[in-house]
Amino acid sequence: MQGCARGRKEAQEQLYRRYSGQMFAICLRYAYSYEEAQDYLQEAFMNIFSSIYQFKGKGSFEGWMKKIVVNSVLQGIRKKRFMIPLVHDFPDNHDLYLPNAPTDLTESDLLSMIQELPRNYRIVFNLYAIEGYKHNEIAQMLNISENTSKSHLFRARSRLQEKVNNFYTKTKGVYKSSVL
Amino acid sequence: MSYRGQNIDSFFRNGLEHFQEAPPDEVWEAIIHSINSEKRRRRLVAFLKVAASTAAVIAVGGAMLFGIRFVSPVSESPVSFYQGDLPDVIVQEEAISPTFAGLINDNDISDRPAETIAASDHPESEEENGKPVMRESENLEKIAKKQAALYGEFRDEPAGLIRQGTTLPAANIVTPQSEKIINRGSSARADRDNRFYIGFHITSAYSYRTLKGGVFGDTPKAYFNGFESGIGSVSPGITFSYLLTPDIEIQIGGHLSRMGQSIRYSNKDKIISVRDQVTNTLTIQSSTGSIAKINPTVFFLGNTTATGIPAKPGNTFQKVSASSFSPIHGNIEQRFTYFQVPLTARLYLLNNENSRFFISGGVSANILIGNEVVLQRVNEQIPIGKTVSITDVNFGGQISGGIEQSITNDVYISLEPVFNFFLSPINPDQTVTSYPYSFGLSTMIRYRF
Repeated sequence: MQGCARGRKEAQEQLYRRYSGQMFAICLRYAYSYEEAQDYLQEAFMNIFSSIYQFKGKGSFEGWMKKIVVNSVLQGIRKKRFMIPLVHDFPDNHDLYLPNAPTDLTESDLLSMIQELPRNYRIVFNLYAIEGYKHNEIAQMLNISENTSKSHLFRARSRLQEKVNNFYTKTKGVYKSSVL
Repeated sequence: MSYRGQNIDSFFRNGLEHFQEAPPDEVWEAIIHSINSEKRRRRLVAFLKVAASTAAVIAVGGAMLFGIRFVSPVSESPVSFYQGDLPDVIVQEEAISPTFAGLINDNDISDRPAETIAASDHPESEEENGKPVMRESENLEKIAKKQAALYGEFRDEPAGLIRQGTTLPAANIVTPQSEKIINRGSSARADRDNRFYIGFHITSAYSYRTLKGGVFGDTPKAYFNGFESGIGSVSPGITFSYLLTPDIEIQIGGHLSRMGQSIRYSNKDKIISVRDQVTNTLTIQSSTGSIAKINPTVFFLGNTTATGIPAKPGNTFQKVSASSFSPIHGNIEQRFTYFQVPLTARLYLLNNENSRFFISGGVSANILIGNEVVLQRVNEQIPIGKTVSITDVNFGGQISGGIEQSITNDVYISLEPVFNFFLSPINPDQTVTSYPYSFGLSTMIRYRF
């Protein structure tokens, strides 16, 4: 970290090699394409290198990096003006349960499902369900209302559940046909 | 993986908890490129800051130093002035410089100093009504020559050495002591015949543009600034000046000036581009205009995604000449080289012969002589095209200020921060119009003749 703070290329490359896979996974969850995720990752590491001296060792370095990555991604998205505010009232804890989750869903499958969500839903779902932010924090980060955040989350969950169910149904059909 | 019975949030959270994917190598390459670009930009900004601070320190320091040491030639000159009608008797013993008092003692010449010498058209008598009177004008020359023999050279005045109602210039008699004194101050400089200057200068500048109009979102400036930035340049020029009054100078010249902007590779995702499916070339839309690709050895490789996103610079530029296609990365620089003909006025705020502090301003005609777009890499520049619909002639303004220091009697060197701006857009046909400007530091050496 000290080497990175001094701008040493070797140290920066070492840090990049160690964490880029993990951080790229975050970018992939928010981006609509592989290329866009690359751009977010690049911007995120630029921000990490330029502000690494601010990390005082309080808390996890990995957690600090993740926050920067998420912020960089949101900054990139905000520049594109993709966030279209929608206002709806939906219950906050509208959790959807998966009665019979499929047994062969891979990480790539899950990622694809998230990537297929509309951008606004995807961002809110990522922030709330995976990153662990609260609605008031999300509203502040995205400059939208809390209700909009809740609305996006509700719709994201519904669509994801639908996708998972479809996948399960398809898999079950294939399984049945292959068995029979 | 099985997540039976979990809610959808934890299902995805747990499922992606340990997910990792190695990014392609070109991301690291792009990061390194961006870091290097950022370093260069910071160095340029730091240089301009240091240069501007230095100029300010020199200017303020010079103003303080020379302002305190400024000496009026009138008050310290050993030879006083006659002006208006001569009085009957002028004897100002107390006003005589001790340097000269009592040093002239010749039978042919009065031992009185020059103050008491009469104009030639006065009566030629030694005394009148018991008072000393003016001496003949011819005597003045003898006195002056005597003084010059003792203390310095004598310079002939073309006609009418001293006449009633005229001024005896302090510079007529030059001694080692008086040389410095008479050379100081605007009065002394204004008396010099050499009012023309020719100067050569080098300007280091950072240029960018302001935007007006447009339909690219609510704020086209913010949109384009997301992936564009300014560029640095060094350019030469020549300036001819005429000293109109002791404190005002008129200048005209010819400068080469580079304006332009850079499209940052690091923000390539925001670039609007249109791909020609037939020629496999790409037209990039910048705030200043479309970049038409003309280099046949470099082209965009089709990288069309399922959603129809066109190829992007950086990861899609291909060199045809390479044995196998290899992507190349770099910022795209739009460069406009202008021959500027400025007409400016310079006002001296502190006008000391050795050091002067000035401000200047004026207008300029800007003639476009170069229009190129290059792919700027670390150690390589690849021409890729030019910006279309750029006007050939524009008009602009210039504001500057600085300090000038004399090296010898006729050679001066100056340091001058300059702000150059275009008054008319260089792309009037575009939706978003672009007005280039530049901040620079100009160093000039000039000769007075």
